[in-house]
Order: sequence, then C-alpha cells, then structure tokens
Amino acid sequence: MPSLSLKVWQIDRLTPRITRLLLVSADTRPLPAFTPGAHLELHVPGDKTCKRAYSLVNLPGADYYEIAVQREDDGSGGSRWVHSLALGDCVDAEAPRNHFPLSDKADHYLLIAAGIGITAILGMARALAARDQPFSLHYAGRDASHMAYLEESLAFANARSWISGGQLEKRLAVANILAVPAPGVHLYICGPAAMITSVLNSARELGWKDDQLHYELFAGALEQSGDQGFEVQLRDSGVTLQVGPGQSVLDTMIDAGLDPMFDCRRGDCGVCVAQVIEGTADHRDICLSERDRASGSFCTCVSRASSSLLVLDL
Amino acid sequence: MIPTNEQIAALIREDSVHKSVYTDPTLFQLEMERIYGHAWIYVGHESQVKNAGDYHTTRIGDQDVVMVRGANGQVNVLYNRCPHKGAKLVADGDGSTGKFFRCPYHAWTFKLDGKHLSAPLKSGFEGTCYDPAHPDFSMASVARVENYRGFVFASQAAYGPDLKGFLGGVITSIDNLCDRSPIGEVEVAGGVFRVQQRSNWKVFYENLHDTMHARVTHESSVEAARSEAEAIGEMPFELLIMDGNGEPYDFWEKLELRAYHNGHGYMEAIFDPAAAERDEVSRAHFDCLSQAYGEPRARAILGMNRHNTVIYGSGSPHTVFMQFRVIRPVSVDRTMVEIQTFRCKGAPDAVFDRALTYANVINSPSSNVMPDDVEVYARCQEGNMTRGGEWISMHRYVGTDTPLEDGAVSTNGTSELPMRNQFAAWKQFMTATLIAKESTHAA
Repeated sequence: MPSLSLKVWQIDRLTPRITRLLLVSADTRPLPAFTPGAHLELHVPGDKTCKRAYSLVNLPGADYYEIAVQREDDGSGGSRWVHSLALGDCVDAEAPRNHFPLSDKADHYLLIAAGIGITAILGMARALAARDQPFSLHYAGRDASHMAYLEESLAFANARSWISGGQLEKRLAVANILAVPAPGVHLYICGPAAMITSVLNSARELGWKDDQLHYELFAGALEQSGDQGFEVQLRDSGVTLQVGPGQSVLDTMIDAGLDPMFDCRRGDCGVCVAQVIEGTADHRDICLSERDRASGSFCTCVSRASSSLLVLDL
Repeated sequence: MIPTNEQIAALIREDSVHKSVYTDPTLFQLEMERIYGHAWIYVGHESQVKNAGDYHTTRIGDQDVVMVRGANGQVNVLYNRCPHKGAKLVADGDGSTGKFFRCPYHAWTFKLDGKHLSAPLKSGFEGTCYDPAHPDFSMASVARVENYRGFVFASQAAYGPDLKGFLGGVITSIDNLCDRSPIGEVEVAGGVFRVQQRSNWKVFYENLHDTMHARVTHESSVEAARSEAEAIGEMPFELLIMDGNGEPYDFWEKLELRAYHNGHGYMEAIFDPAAAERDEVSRAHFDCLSQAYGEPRARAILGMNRHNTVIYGSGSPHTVFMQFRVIRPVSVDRTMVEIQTFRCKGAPDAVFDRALTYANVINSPSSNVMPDDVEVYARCQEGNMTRGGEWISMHRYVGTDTPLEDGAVSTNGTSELPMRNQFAAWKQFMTATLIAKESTHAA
C-alpha cells in the first residue's frame, strides 16, 4: 500500500535529458518530513507495479518534494514514465527514506557528484549552506549542457566543476581533492558505480577512514533495478548492514570491511552461500536447488530480501 | 605377478641384496604401496605455506598431494584430486588458492580442509545421491598429518607409530637444525633446486652414508679445489667444502655411523667443528646463539656436527649447512631430488649465505660435486640392467656393528651398516610384517 499520494505541480526541463518535477500532496495531508540525502520512491504503473527511487533535492520543511530525473532510454522504463507525466497527474509514492544521511560529527563536508548524482549532493549542499556549515563541492560531468543545476552548484563558496569533454586530463582530480584526510572531514559521493568505486579506492589508499566515507550509487543501479534496500543482520559477525537498492549483500559486507567468501559474483557457483535465519529471501541465483533454498541457503552475491530485515548466519 | 613375502625376503641377505630391488617395476609398485603407503613422509616445511590458502604440491610415493594452509592456520595435506572427474585441482608448484579450491574443469569448489563447498546448477542433483556432506564429494585428506617444529610429515596409513616414534633418534637432527636459530625456527628460503636422477631412489639413500666413495667418485672436484687453493694461496669456504671429500681412508674409518630403526641414520660430520668456530661466520653465529641460549648450550648446538642425516623415504637433512634434500621416487629408474635451503630465523645473514653457498657448490645441478654422484648412480642403474651378475655387495664390516636398543652403531666409519640397516627396514615394510602387526593392533 502506498503511503503517499502526490500531484505534479511543476515541470521544468533542465537539460535535454533531465527534467525537474515539483510534487505536492494530492490530498490535504501534509508531506512527511525528510533529511538531506533522503530519496523518494515512486510507484511506476504497469503490469507489475515497481518502485523507482529518486533523491530529494529541495530543502526539508517545504510543502513540496523536488526531484530531477534523467531519461534513460535503455532503462527499464521508470524514467521514461516520469518524463511522460503532465501537470496535475497523480502518482503514488512511499514516504521518504534516507540511506545517505549527513553525519552530525563532521567539521567539514566534502561533496562529490558526478552526472545525475548531483541531485542528492545538491540537496545536501543547500541544507549545509542554510545551516551555515562549511562544505566544499565538486561536480563532474562530460558536457556542461547536460549537467543539471550547474549554475546553482557553482554559486556556492567552495564549489568547482570538472567538465572533461571526454579528455582524461580534465577529469575529476581525485588524488588532489582527497590528498589530505583530516579527522573531521566527511566525504559524500554520489554518481555512477565506477566513479564511486574509484573515489573510494583512492580515499582508502590516501588514508581516509571508513567512517569518514559515505556514498550512494546512483541512477544505473537505483533506477534500473527497482530493488528495495533492506537491512541485513549477520549473526556470527554481530553486525547489521544496510543494503542499498543497487547493492548486493556481498558488496555491502565487503564495503563494511568484512572478508566474506565468494567467487563468481553472478549466482553461478554457490561459494558465497549463507543460511537465512530470519526474513524472506528473494532468490536471484541459478546455483541453488529448490531443496537448498528450502533449507535456507542463500547466495549473497545476487539474491535479495523481500522482507525489510534479513538475518544470515555469517 | 605380485611376489610372495618369502620371495621378497629372499632378495635381502645379511651382506647383499638382489639387483632386482633397483630394476623391477613390480617391486617399485609394491614399494609405493607398502613403504610410501605407510611410512611417515616429509611433505614440506610450513614456511612454504605461510598464509591461509598458500599451497605446495609434492608427491608421497606415487601420490600427488597438496599441502595447504587452512583458514584456521592448520596445515592440511590433501590428495590433489577433484572428486567429480578426478582432475588435479592445482597445477604442480607453489601458489595461493585463495579461500577455497576451485576445479578448473566444472567449478566444483572445496574448502581449504578439502570439504565440499559447492557446485554450479544444483537443481541437477535433485533426487540423486549427491550429498555435499558425504566424503565421496570432498577432496580426500591423507590419513595422518603431523607437524614437528615446522616440518610437515604425512602418513597414508590411518594407524601405526606416531611421527616421533617413527623417526626415533633422527628427530634430534631436526631439533639441531631448528636450534641453530636463536628463536628455534627455520624457514625454506632462496628457492629450491630440482634434479632428476636416472636411477632408483634407494641408491641415493645408500650413498648418503657411503664413506668409501668420497675420495674416489669426487677425485676430480677435490683435485680442482686443491689446485685452485694453491693458485690463490688460501682455502676459502667454497673450496674447503669441496676439499672435504678428499680426506684419506683413515679419516673416514674413524667416523661414527649411527643407524636407527625404519632405515634412518646419520653420520658424523667430515668438517672439523673447531675449524668452524675459527671463522668469522661461525663466530658471529656462536655469539648470536650464546645470547639466546647461553654459551654452554650454544656450544652444544653448534658442536653437534652431523653430516647427512637419512630420514628413510623422505630424504636427507644436513643440519650444519641447513639443507634438506627431499628424495621423490618417480619410477623404478627415475628419482626427483628437491634441494631446500633453510634460513635460521634471527641468525646472522652470513649463516644463510653460507648455506646457499653450500647448496650451490655441493648440491646444485651445476655444482662440481653432486654430478659426480649422479653419474655413478646412473651407471649403477644401467650396469644392473645387464646380465653380468645378480647380487650387490654390502659386506664391509658385516657382523661387527654394535647393536643398540634403538638401532646400531658402526665400529668402523667405512662400515656398510647404513645400507644393511636401510634394507632391513625395506624388507620389513615390503614383506608386510609391519602392516600385519598394525592391522592386529588396529583390530
């Protein structure tokens, strides 16, 4: 059951492929509050309703939600549907959730966005600026005409853009930006998976601590898979992790510094198998037999949970 | 036709052996079952598999095995075979297999203790007897594995004496090798040499304590060392160790040969221990051990001046110069020898340098010394293939050895006691008297 009913109140074309929507409550109920970094899940109508997550760009406390959506012609259809919406159309949504919150322990925030990843990062930048908290912002893209919110982003005090035009030497200078890790600086990254991986790897090499690093995979994973995030509790390790919509349980464990066993990462081999203690598995592997599944086996590399919590024996 | 115990026993006389023990492929096959299928065999040193997943492949007789460090730090010895189609899971050599073995054929996977981990597309096993918990679907472990001060031995028999009981008195050679480190630990370092010999494996064991061959077989290398020393006006370490083989017969006669049950033994060193303390390297080593153990114990450790030790079936440690020549039978007329050199952890670098020099000058394929031996081994193999005679002599000082509770000791250093002792053990293994005794015990 959707928890919200929203109505399209304003539509702006920001770039040839990116459209901004302002959504207001379709009934008299006030919109639920959210914090910077949160996302909104829209129900995409079709034979089988699926959900697509979009970062909230506006400041908390307004009576509307602002999202910006890039049309992915090769995607599963969510973005094409958003782009087909007209003023006054009604959409169902889940209340905002936040897997990418701002830490309240930072002295300084280093924000890095690439492509449509600017939506989450800009939401943070606006909030930090409103609170007068120090931050710097880096916004990378290939072509200025395809970069939403570019002008607004560059208007902040410590902001710069990295527009490569396809040239290697003009790309985000990660090593320079991250060169001096300081204990109070927290890093926030949002963009395509490859960019996030590359920035995270550099940061770790340069001595950044894991609790200073925050990231959200964007578009590709978020929008195309339509998967929900869930919480995974690892009984033997004694840790609980958030699995984002575009992440696997295995990747989440690796990112958390655990050392799980795995091989193929595509659900073939069965090396990463764990036992489900609680929760409902959504099996995506082609390795396990029905008997294996019935006995609780679960491939952490591809399979997910249809419950909000999954408890594994790892 | 498998020979009867009586036929096998008849090949071994007190003073001679029948040449077929070196040339008969049927006997070789029986050796693989009855000796290598039961005895404790050196697999490798744990330093060859430092981290979880590191492996070292080798052979126990005719069996391909892999020594691997498990996730819990324990060293496992497994047959190198996938239970699916039988493929060897890892290629020969050393490496890391990660957290598990994966067969290159169909991606069946196994934990580092050999237990079945997974296989793809398991729905194909529904309704079959496939059972991941059943041993038929796991890699098999060699029946028993023991680690003595880092030296990993395995026995393919589930019952029998433990490693210490099997090694008897030669365990003190392993102790002495380790004690030469101030922290009591050694590690294989500097790579290994491998030499394929065109001869039966037993010839090498016999030669290790054959004092009568040194000044004859090695005459050319002794002469080369002496003329070089004369030309340069000194006898550096490299030449000294070549020169050692040239001692006159009365020197060898005074040495002591010690024989233990199961074919093991050692001989006293041919190098003067006092001389070893005069040089700079030995002095530095002595100082280092004195600090760790105190002077009296340091003197005792460095004063135990053994030349080759024989661990029958495994090979020959050399404690003074920190080598282990691992002897692997390949076929009735082929033997692979792997020469490992050890670093004594915490000892001066020069001690390891000297061990490497010894490996290079005496034991390596390109040394001036070992090729002399390899040549005569091959001649023995080929000569014994002729119809020119049936028996091999080991008459020297027969009947004069002094029996001891755990073996025997020679009264003359040129005695062929070591050969007689090795063949006594050979006969015991091969006539299955040992096996029969163990079976009774197990029952």
